[in-house]
Amino acid sequence: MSAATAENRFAPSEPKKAKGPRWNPGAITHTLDRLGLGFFSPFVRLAAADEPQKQATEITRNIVLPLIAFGVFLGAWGIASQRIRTEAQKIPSPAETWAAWKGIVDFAKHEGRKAVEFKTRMHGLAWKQEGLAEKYAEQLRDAEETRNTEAVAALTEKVNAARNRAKSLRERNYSGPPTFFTQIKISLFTIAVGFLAATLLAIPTGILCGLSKGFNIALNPLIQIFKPVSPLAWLPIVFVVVTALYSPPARESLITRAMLISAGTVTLCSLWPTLINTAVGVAAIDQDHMNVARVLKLSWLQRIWKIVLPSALPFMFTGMRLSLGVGWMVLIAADMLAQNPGLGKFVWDTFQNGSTNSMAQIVCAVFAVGIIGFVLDRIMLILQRLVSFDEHAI
Amino acid sequence: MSFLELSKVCKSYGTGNARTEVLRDINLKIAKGEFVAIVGYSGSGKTTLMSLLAGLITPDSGGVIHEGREIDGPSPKRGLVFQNYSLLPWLTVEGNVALSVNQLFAGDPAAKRQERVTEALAMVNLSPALHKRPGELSGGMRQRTAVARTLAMHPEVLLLDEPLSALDALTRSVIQDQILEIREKLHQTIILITNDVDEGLYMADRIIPLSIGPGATLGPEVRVDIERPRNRAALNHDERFKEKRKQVIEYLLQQKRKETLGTTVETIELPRVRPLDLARPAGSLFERLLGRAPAAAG
Repeated sequence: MSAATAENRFAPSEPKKAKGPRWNPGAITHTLDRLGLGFFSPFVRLAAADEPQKQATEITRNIVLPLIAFGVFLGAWGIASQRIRTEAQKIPSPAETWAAWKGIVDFAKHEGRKAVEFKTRMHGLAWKQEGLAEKYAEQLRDAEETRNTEAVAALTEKVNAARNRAKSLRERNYSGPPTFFTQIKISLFTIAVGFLAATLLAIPTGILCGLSKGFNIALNPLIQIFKPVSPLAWLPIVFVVVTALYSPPARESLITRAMLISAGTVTLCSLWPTLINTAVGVAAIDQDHMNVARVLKLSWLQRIWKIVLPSALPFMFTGMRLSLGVGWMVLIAADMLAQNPGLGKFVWDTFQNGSTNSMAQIVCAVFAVGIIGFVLDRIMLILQRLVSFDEHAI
Repeated sequence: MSFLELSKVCKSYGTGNARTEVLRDINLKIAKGEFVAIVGYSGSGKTTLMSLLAGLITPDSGGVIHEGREIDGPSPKRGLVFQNYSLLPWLTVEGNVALSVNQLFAGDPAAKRQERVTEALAMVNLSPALHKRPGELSGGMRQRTAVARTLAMHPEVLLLDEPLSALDALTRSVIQDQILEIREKLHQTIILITNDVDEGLYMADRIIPLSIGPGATLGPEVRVDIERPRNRAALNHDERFKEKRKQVIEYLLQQKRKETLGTTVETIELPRVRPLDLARPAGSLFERLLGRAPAAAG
């Protein structure tokens, strides 16, 4: 942006008055910038014919330069894939990776079709059982009219049995191997749980640390010691804690032990940035704002709710954004070790599998992890900009 | 008995060798409905004096007496307009004013409270900017929001701590007149702290210079018995006005001379530091490497 203005400053004065934009793109570009999608604002400006020459240059630069860099990267990758190989494995070429990606998608589609087929088949069978139950019920009514007690008992049992069979058939789920996309879903669910727990722990603690010097001094050593600990070191401890305290209520429960271990590790590794940022944000509150609260005689709770929290909110969200980034990185490692069926487990299982295209699948997973991490970061950036009042969030 | 009184107030900051006396033996009596201006150099302890009046800090000795009772903390009865506005940046103009109203008139029905907010904002002509945030406002509008927030509290005493010093001259005179208009309507007691003698003379009934610190104290007061409403343009040619301005300015200048005579001049060897130019050079790094950078500006 600054380069663009600099350019403008040194441009020779135009001989005739430039045509103004057809409509004012300001509102849209402002929103785009706030949403962290500033990349697209030159396109909007171009559509509005607002300094088309300048927009065209900017778009060319925004697209051409990244494309060149990506091309160089692909070239280096291609060369590496030719050279780097062991007896069993080799670095896959970009083309092999693309083929592997299509394979992953095809497999997921295939599994999806199979799941649908399975459901239809089960529903068909259930429907038959329900027909049977209906037939028995009719016979039961006849038996009741003739007061044949023996037949009534036998038929009641038959009706119930048929109904139960139908119910269990309808409830039966397809239990094929997990696809790449279900694993992504599980990873996202795990990070959601871990990140939520980290936020719920870190924000109240951070507020206390920011408000009370004593509390801060007391906790600081613990924070400083535990902050740099690797997820791999936390995992065994979380493993013991979860195994001791939690047993899933049902076999097909959504919250499994492995998932909790993974989420717990994410929590322990990702709560620190939020905690520290919240504490700093609360401690950095403007004395003048506190004076306003004093003149108005706000109570302690009102001060927290009306002055301290809103003023620390931008700091908190910066911390949460950092936390989510850390959490997502940690999650992949934690999934691998805890055998939580997410992306990390996908990478590990594929590596152990050792088929010809498993390395290519792993590269696909690397890209997926990167892209999802980027999207999560963008979401947090948008939230961060929504709560920040100075509009200059980075 | 006076309405608001400062009695033998002393205030120091720091301890031991680092202790500096800011205010010494301040005595001031203010009647109800009076408009008093206190002028002084920056750094002479004006804001400390204001914080004492508001009750944000407590004096080391002496006391501040409001309606016959020594004050023991801040109160909405003494509405303070802060020097740097201290608006809450996450609230809109309306929200900032509503914060005071909702707190102080919590018993009123919502419609009545809303009315108070609208009324206060209308008084400073801010009705068109209701839904803007402080970051989107000009300095003058922020200051008017701060005044509206304080007015909405219906304070008995309005404490104005250099409220206009950050504004340009035109905006300044507009807000000065607005404050005077509001005073006509509400008849509050007002204490204005300023570094502008003309402002004090134009607005106040009484103007009191503050001597230079450390250990600043109030100088001889000057009564401004010029009838209201005062005409800004005519005032400059009014003999009484000229005379009073001369009195105040002479006192302040004499203070300044005393200060320079009283202190031995120490020369401090300053390190020879050349400031780095932190501005980003024009053109991209790439262009500069190729020697195609445009000539540096200026």
